[in-house]
Amino acid sequence: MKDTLKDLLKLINFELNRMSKFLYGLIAFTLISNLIAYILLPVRFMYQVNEYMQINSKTIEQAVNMFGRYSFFDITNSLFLIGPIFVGITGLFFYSIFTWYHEWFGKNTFAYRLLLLPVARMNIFFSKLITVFIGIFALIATQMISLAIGFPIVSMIVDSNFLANINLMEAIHMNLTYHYILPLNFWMFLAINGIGLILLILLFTFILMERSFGIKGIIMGVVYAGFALLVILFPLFIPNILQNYYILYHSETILLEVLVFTIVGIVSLVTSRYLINHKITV
Amino acid sequence: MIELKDVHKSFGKKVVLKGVSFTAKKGEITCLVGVNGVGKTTILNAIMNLTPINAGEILIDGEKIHPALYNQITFIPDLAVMLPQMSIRDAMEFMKDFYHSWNSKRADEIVHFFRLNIEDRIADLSKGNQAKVNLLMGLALDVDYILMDEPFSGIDIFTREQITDVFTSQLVADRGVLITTHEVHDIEHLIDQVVLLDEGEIYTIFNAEEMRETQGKSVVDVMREVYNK
Amino acid sequence: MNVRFDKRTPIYLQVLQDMKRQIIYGEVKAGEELPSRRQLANDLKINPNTVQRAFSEMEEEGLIYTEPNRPSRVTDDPALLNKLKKEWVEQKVSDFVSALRPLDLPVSEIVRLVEDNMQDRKKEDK
Repeated sequence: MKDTLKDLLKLINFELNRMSKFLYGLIAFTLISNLIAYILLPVRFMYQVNEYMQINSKTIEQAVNMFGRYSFFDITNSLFLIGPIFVGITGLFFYSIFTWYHEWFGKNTFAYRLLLLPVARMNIFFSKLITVFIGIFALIATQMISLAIGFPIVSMIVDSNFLANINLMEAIHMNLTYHYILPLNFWMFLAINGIGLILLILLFTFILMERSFGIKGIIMGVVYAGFALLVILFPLFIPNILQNYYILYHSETILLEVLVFTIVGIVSLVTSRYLINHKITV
Repeated sequence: MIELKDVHKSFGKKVVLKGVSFTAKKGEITCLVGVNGVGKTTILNAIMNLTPINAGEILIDGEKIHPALYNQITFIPDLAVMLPQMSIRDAMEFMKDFYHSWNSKRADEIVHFFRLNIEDRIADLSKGNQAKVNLLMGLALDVDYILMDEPFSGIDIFTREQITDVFTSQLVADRGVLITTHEVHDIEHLIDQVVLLDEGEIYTIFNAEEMRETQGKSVVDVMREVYNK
Repeated sequence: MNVRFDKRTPIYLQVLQDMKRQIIYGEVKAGEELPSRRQLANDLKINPNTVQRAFSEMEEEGLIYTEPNRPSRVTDDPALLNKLKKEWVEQKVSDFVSALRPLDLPVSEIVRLVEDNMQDRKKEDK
């Protein structure tokens, strides 16, 4: 058990090293894009406001009436901030596929080495899974740090007369996207990441099916994933199916969802374990 | 002892192994010979659990393969299996990290024997040196069994000579060696047992020295019979 | 050392034969230590088990002897060495005669040719 943990940590460390360049790239992209927003957008706002006041000889009050007050929310809603989040999610999704396939394709077939390591093969599976999740959390942390840095920058650039009286947390809460990706509400954060985890396990299972059975495996994977999604969505449609919209309390639906997600996760893990131990082929 | 008992394997409709049985003993060099595409590599992959078999059984000293056994049996494939961006040193560190049977002293000996530069990146190596690095990764493990897939294919004659030297050296002493080759000519003197495959079946199994003694035939002579049959 | 082996004759017999030749020619002296089996296999580029077989055979014939935990040594038994030499000469003469017999040369002619050849070689050696 202790050795298994050590093997897993060694593999995670190894996988993190392999992902590092890609992850640093995403982090850098996020920070640079955000920083542009933190400076460019408020500067442009102030420029427009000043130009308006100068040309039309208006007072600050009139300008405020005209433009409204500027808040950090305006920034968080811009493409410079939403864009990198989207790129990060998409990037990590593709990395999750790439993390398996680059072992087989390319000049060197590292799959041989990995599968011949004297470690339980599920450690390879878990190391890749955890590495992707470390990537996710690294990007979330990056976003949080970025926002903390960005807020004072924006407040500094925008003339206090034009600054809305909204603090950092309020601005973040106002943006719907952040409710899904940042740990604003413990249960929400847990649910989103839990769903993400199960879907990632499902994706890995799909990939292992393909790696084990080729084209047949893809068909199996599609059927399996389709079935899994059906199971996952089933509790949401119980009222429709039974034509009884009061049959389940909201909390009961959630409980059912937790249950079906857990079942899908466990079945996928057991399937993956079987495939990687007995069916996978180089 | 590596035992194969009635091993069957197909890829889709293509039957690759039709009931293959043989044993490879410790302290002997067993050579799987046959033209390309007769399932030699598949046999090695199957022994290492790198591809599932459809029927039959494979035992290593009486046990089915499991991850801990990879410290006792190693496979040297016919292609580069370390990351191209690694230096030879990185690759050695990686092996040392994961295999408790890695023998650092022996690894250094092999590096010296092959005159490799450990700072070289795997991606920059010639085909011959890549093959040597592959051998290094396998031979530096204190294992009982070494499997090698086509150790002589596609490399220059001098590298080939160096690799041949490995077989008679301390590096493989007392281990069980199982190699595949389609050009047995160069290593007839080196091998104990020959397992001759023909279209997924075993044509014959014999001891090379006994074949010379009792029938006055070389290994190539016996192979020729298969292709002229 | 690079012996060319015939691929259709047991290697251990060829090793045995070559060892006899070396002993008879004095390339290895009576009582001399032999390299280890592994070393010899490496020198000759042949299977270590084959060398082992050749050594067993030589031990059986008394050509070499091995004390526990010591390298094998060439025999220093003069009777055996003489016997070896005699066998060797008989074998070579037999080969020689087999090769010449179909030519139907008179024996005196053959003796003369042998003498001449030996004379020439002596000169070359000087």
